[in-house]
Amino acid sequence: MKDDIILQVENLHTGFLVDNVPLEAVSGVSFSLKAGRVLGVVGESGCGKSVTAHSIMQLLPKYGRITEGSITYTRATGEKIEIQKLRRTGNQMRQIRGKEISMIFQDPMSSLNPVYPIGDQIAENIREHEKVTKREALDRARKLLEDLEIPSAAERLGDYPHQFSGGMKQRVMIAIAMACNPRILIADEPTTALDVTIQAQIIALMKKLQREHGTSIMMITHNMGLVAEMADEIAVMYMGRIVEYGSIRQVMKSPAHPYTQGLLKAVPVLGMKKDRLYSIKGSTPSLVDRPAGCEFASRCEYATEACRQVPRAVEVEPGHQVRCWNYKEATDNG
Amino acid sequence: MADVILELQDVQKYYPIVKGAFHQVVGHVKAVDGVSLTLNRGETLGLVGESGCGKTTLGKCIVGLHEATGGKILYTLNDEKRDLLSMNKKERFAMKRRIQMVFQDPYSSLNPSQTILQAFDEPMQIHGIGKTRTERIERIAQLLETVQLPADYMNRFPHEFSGGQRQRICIARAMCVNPETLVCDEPVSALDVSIQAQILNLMKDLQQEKNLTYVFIAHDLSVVEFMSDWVAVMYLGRVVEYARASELYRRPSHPYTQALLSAVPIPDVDVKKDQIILEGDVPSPAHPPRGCRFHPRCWKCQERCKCEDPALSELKDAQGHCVACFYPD
Amino acid sequence: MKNKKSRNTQGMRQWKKFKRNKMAVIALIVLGILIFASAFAPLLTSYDPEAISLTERTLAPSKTHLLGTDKVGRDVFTRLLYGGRISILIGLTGALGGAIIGAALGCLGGYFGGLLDRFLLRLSELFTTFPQTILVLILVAFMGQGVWNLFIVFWCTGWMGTYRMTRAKILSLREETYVLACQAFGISNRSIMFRHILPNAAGPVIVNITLSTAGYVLQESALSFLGLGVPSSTPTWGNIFNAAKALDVVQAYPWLWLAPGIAISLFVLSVNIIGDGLRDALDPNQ
Repeated sequence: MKDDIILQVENLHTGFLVDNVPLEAVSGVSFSLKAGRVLGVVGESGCGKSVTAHSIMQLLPKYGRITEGSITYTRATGEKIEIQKLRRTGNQMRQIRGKEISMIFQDPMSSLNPVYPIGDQIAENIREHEKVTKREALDRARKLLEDLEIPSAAERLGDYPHQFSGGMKQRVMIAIAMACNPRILIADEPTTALDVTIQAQIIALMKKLQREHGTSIMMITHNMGLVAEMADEIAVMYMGRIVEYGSIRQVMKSPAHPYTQGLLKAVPVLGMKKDRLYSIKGSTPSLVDRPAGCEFASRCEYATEACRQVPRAVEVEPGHQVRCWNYKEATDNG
Repeated sequence: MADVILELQDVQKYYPIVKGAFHQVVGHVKAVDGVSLTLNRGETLGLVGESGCGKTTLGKCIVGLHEATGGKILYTLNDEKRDLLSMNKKERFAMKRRIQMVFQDPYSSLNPSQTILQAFDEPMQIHGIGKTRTERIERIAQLLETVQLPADYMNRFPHEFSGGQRQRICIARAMCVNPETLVCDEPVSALDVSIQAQILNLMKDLQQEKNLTYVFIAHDLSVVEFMSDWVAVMYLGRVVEYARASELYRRPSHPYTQALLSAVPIPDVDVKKDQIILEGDVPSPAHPPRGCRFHPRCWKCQERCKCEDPALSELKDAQGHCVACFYPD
Repeated sequence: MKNKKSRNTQGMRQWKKFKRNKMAVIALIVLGILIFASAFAPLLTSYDPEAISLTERTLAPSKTHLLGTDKVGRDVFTRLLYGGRISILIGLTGALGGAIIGAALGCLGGYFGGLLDRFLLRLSELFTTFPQTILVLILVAFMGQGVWNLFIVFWCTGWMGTYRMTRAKILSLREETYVLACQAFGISNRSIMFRHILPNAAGPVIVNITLSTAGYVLQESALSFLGLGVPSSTPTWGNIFNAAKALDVVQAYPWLWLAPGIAISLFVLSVNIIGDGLRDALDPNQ
């Protein structure tokens, strides 16, 4: 079973320097991504989910740094690479980034270069990693666009990003990301900027690609519904920590952390016929004055004295972990 | 008998497309193309649709931020229906007290160089609410309390607040002139999930307390279902389906509504539904398709749909449930 | 008066931000000394800036003449102080006038758009292409040399930069939601333009004023140097510098050009640094 793990993140800490004050955006995140599976990372803005993804890709801004922990990527050959030890712009990182691990971003509008035709942009990524002629690369780009159900793909290769709609641009982004048939795809809020019907198209596509290529996907989102549809496993993040982690069924059906419970209850669901929504009181504290102990305590219904200490991850059932002192009370009442 | 407060009759908003050195008009973008709806006092009308469907434009026409180019917007003033579009300048200004708007982006809705007090004070002053400054300050304090914020926040600047707090402030500010109707344009879509619930609950409480009428614009169908009494689904400037919320969600009859509903991801692993995946994108409102505007993406499209434009008409077996489709379910 | 308290807090916040910039604070002190010295010139020196003393020509700096004397025996230090009055006045007035005209037109054009905007844009292009030196020559020909010529020239040819900047800024600020909110309340266009939008565009305008103040002090020197500016009998930094244009002066009497040169450089430098500091401090989004 252990061989199946393709990406192992262990006790990851990532910090930023803001006005010479170090801030920790990710504090001790551990999870594993299994081959051919989808891991959903859920949380609200500022919870560190994107920073985690950028840490894996070594795409942190200049003033951001992995301060502790390890990110271990297992190659197809079985070779293990500790990503955090590689240089950001070093050869090995460049080989991995885009070829073996690639990423799609939230905003398809600004992720494409407006001055090059999209065919060139896809082909460039292929040629960066593989020795092929331009013609071969373009040919593959066309096939990719066809796979992504873009009509008249051959003609559209010469089109510029502004000639595409938002949904089409996100397809092109996926095409670029999938160009070298990566083993891991990190999707950072891939459909947040899109309309519902377009979102459904993109998600269906991603599922299809995942089935056909066996890509492992790390899907970052704030939408519980999307995770339920896509993911096999889920990690719920709050203020830089994973507060709950388990299979999608375990977490969705019997959420143990009060925050997960709150998130699930706070979203209106079609056909729920309720007059009031459950709401988590207050708002996420700022990273600058991070509360001591459990970060969620100030907003939590079940907070007790114990919550002045940072809770450790406990196993509720095999594979289902929660970081809460009072999860038993929470599960019984929630 | 329901107390109708707002009635839209065939409202249109066309934007001219100009070209060339002499700015000739070469066509029109029909952002809103003949919308008729009614809204009762104290109720909520939800406007749903994807980007570019004209829901925000329609909302702005109701508030008077855009000048509708055709049709009538009838508003009940002292038991008399008045057309907003044929009012004079003074009457229109007075209408601003009755219809207010809450915007999508709480981050740019407040002037960064003004304190909350300043942002509230000017509208109250020009509408003659609170004669003295002390009276107005007192009222601002009350307003902040109704949105559950401490009164002393009024001396702070917007950048000191989180998104949720800002949206509360924006709601309070819209309330400062005591409006009857609030047009809310995607008021929670820029907020985090846990904050959304707070704002939605707050808006419901306010509505009950003050008997407010809401026009609630959103792209999120579940949020609209939670908030609305009536729902109008818009597509390319037209209303394609209009019904009581419970009815619409129970029995969506327009193919587009069905597709929209099926596309909403449900946070429940056991619910496996048949998704209708629509093909293609929303066409440009500058060149809407001939016939039924939805026909190029519709899986039930017949020959008739390609050349004839279906009108919004009531279903035979359901009162008040209107659909613009030749073959409704 | 009515919003005094809140204005103060905002002012305090900006002042705090400004104070964090050490260079800007030093520049402010230097500028303060320059302005103070010029304003209180009679208290700091007992000489008359225009008094000629043929017995004391081209004296090197000493206790009696701190910066020496020029070729007709006038005290350079005294002339420098009195000259600062006019130079700084010309710089500030020129820049302020241009900025006010530019900001007002930029506001109108940017906010209302349409025909008015297109007209103003063409007008600014017309003024940009108009050669400044020729305008000065024309004015001097009609009105003779004088300070007012410079004001008129600087105002006429100096508003376009601020105009363009304000217009561009207003064009983007006009799309902000808070402007829509103001319109939804029925707040008048004038109030929206000047009370709601302009303060948010003020940062770059103020920076522009400081930069062009420095520029105008230099231009005044240049025009005076060409004999087109202030009459040479009136001391300005440009005129003092002007007196040192002969080669023998440059070589033999360095205090004649070094002193005004340093004064001009110090002034221009400190004003520019203050401008940079202000830009950061006034940005409401930081």
